[in-house]
Order: sequence, then C-alpha cells, then structure tokens
Amino acid sequence: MVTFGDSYSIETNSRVLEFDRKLAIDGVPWVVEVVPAIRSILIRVDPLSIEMEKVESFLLELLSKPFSDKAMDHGRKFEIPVCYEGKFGPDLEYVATKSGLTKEKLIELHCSCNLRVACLGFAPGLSYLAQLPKEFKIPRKVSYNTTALPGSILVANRQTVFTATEIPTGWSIIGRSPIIGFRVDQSPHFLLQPGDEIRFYPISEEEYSNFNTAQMWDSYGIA
Amino acid sequence: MASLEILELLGPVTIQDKGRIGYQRYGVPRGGAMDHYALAEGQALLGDDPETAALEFQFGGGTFVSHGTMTLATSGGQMEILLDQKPLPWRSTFTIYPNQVLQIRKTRSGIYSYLHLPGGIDSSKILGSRSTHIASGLGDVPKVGYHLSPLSENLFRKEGLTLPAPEYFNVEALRIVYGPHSELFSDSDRKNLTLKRFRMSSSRNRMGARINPIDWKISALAGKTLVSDPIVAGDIQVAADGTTAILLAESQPTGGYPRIASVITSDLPKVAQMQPGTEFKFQLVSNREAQIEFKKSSSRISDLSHSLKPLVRDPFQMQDLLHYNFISGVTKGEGNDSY
Repeated sequence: MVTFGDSYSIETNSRVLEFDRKLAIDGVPWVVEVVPAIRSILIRVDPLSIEMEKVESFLLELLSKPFSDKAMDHGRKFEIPVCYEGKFGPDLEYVATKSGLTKEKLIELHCSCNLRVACLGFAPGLSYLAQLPKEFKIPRKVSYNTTALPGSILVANRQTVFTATEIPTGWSIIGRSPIIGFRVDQSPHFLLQPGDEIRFYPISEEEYSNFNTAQMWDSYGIA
Repeated sequence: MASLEILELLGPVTIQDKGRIGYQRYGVPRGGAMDHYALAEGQALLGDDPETAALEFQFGGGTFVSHGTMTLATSGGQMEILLDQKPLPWRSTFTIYPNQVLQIRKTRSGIYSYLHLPGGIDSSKILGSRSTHIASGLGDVPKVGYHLSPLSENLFRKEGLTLPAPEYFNVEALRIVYGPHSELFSDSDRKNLTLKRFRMSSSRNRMGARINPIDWKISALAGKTLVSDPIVAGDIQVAADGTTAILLAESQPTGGYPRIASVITSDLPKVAQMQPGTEFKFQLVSNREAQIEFKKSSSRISDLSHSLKPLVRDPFQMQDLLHYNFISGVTKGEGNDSY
C-alpha cells in the first residue's frame, strides 16, 4: 500500500488517482489488482511472478516521476437527481438543525457543490464524495442501526456518500436518488469511477417515481 | 439434468469459489472460500480446475437428495457424512445415485467444510464469481428446495479417491508481517503482539474473527481514527474500544480502523479453521519469508493431484458395489445420468 497523506485533500486524492492511472497504462503483468482509496492505494501483486524487493523498487521509481496537474480534473461529470422530500430524506431536519440552516438552504448548499468521487468502498458501487462545506461537519450517529436503501445520499464529517446497495449506516440520510450506480446484469456494472465529478439537483417525489434509470445510464453515454 | 436438492440446512451455507478479483476498487468485497486450500482439495479430488465453486458449510451441515447420478467430493473441516445412512470417509470422492439421501453434520475438526460437484456448482455468476455475498445480494443463496446443479456434463469421476488430512487443523502459531499501520502502535504493543498469547473467540463470521489477547490488551489508538484504507484478508484490526479481530475473506473492501499487522496469506486456512477457545501466538516473519511460504503453499496446492490415493475399503461395506456393472466392462460415463 502506498499512502499519499494523512487525510483527504484534493491534492492527495489526485496523486492517488494519478498513480492508479500510471499503473493501468503501464499494464504491469504481476499486478493482480489496484485499489485506490481516499488517500492511499493498494497494489496487490502475484508473489509467484515477482520478488518483493523488485516490487518496492518499481513503485519507488514510479513515485519519483513528476506529478502532473492534469490529473486534478480528468474525471467525467455527472448531474445526479436527488429527492430530499419526506421519507426520502428522514434526517434532513436533523442535519439542518445541526448546521443552523433551513432545510431549503441546506438542499441549495448540497446541490451547489462540485463533488469528487474520492473513492468507492464499503459496499458495491458506494461512492465517497468530497468535499462538502463546513456546515456539513455533522458527526456520525452513535447507533449503526439505520438501513439506507440503494441510491441514498448520506452525510457526515463534510463527506457525502451515495449508496448503490442497501447498507446499515450511522450517517444521516438526507435524500435518495432514483439513480442506482451498480447493476448486476449488465456491463459496465458501475456508473461511477474514482475521480468523477458529481453535482446533485433536487427533484420532487413525483419526478422520483417517474424517473427512468436505464435511460439515465444511456444519457451519461454508458450503454 | 442431474442435481442435488437441499432438504435441510443445519447452519450457515454459501456457494464459494476463489472470489471476486479486480472489483475491490468498486467497493466489492473479494469473498471466496474461507479455506482456499480446502477448495483446492475438492478440485483435485474431482479433477476440476481452480475456477470451480463448491458448497461451503460453517458448522451445521445439511441433508440432500440426489436427482441423478454423479460423483461428489468433500473437503475442509472433517464432518460426519452418511449416504443412505451409511458412513463415508471424509475428504474423498463417492458417487451418489438417484433418490439417495446424503447427510452431512457434526463438525469434527475445523469450522469450514466443502461439498464439491463435478465441474463445480452451476449457479449465477456475477462479477467473475459465483460466490454468495449475502450483504450485497451477490450470488445464489442456497436454501431448502434449492437445486445444486453440476456445471460439467462429465458427471462421473474417479470414485474412492482420498487425500491425506492436512496438518493445519492444530496450530499454535500464525505468521504475520508488519503493514502500513504497524508503526502507529506503541513499541510495547508491537512487542507484546508476538510475545503474549491470544485466544480465538466464538465471535466470528466470514468477515472476520475476533481474537482476545490473554492477560493484556492492545491500546486502541484513541483520536487516531484513520481515513479509510483498503483492507486485505489477514489484517489484524484494532477497533476504537481495543477489540481485536483478524479480517477474513469477506471483509469490507476499505476500513478506518488501524491494523497492527497482517496474517500471511498461506496461513489464512489456519485462521479459517481455528476453533473457538484455541490458544495461539503470532510469529513475525519478513516479507521475503512470507513470499517463500506463499510459493510453498502454492506448490502444495498444485501438487494435490499427485497426492490422491485410492481408499482402502472393505468390500462388505461397499453398499455402492451393487451399482457397478461387472459384465459389460464398458463404462463410457459421459452425460449418462440414468442407471
């Protein structure tokens, strides 16, 4: 594992993503799997194909190459609809109170941010989006017992999470999107990649139920 | 179509192969057989390749009825196995005939046991694997009434083959290497990690196994909750309250708790099969030694097909003798599931 910093910053995460791309481009034969995370990257190697010492020197050499600024905005751009109303955002009120904003202002703020998919993790297709303004510095709830349905938008600690499967969570659920970023039966299976950029826009309950998700994948150019 | 129907399940049962490789970057746990050595044993017994999927039992077992004729194999932790009430040896191959009832129960050693069908189980394949991952709804979930179908058309394999029981069911030491978070822990915690003993708890599942340090506790790194980093099976995680666990095949793809060290890949079957209450120590090895051990265990796995031995059986105990065709001397065997 290679670590690029202690916490999330756009620069640290960009270095992770650039390192990921370098490894992908070079197509290193003894690399089994590469897992980019928020501030670190796991490189899984085949121990039958290469000696560990060589792995280390290879990675050090790759790290010594200059870091290009282009990596900062290479991601695709997505606009994702979110219904913040009623049952879709059960914790919206709580987050609004904590942040000192009205619900309307909170939604406006949440939809005004350009968010980066810092990484996918925890569950299939679940994306960690960074970074929200300081109003969203909401601690995680103590209990872990709430169920977030697929498409849920969660917030805690200035991060927002966009789920693609049902998960248990201690984060606050502020909305739900009709877009589910993971499909089992068709390739590509995942809508989002680390480095992609997301902007949310609010929709009503009615628009939520009339939404055509399949068309949405198409409209992003993902067949 | 030949199949094995599940009549009863006595504990957690899943379908497992080598797991989902290449999807951890999308948040998908790798999963796969808890004991990859045992999975390979069954593949060797039936002469199948390393891609096949088997039924994995975690204690318990189950009862099955056969619709068709096929050769099956068992591996992993030893269980009691009865074919139409007659006991069969574990870790061996046998042929089951239409309407015969197979009972698997009472784990005698280890925790995870496997039942293999010719060509592996033909179940839904998602993201390159048939492994059941219940939490994210991937793969088939075997339940009562589910039919396990063999993937191969060649249903007849050499029966009465066996493998010697491996030695890893009674272990006293697990080998570890330091990882990227090891330095965050105090010198005394790292020293104690290999000096003091641990006890395997009963609190475990496919995601991880909780272990209890005997007469001491690893200091939780208060205030040092990390940003989520990728997890690999074998990582020894210390949670915020000091709870220590070895993360296993189905661990989450990323996690924010620090990991003091990692059990080497070739020792993961030992962790998988270690029964609650077992006392053990950790033994620190270098990355180089870990790699040598990986190579050794890989060659042990590829040599399994050379270790197959015929069972020595008493003809009077051979209830399946009646099914052999002694007269024609010709058994083509392929695709023929009616006797």
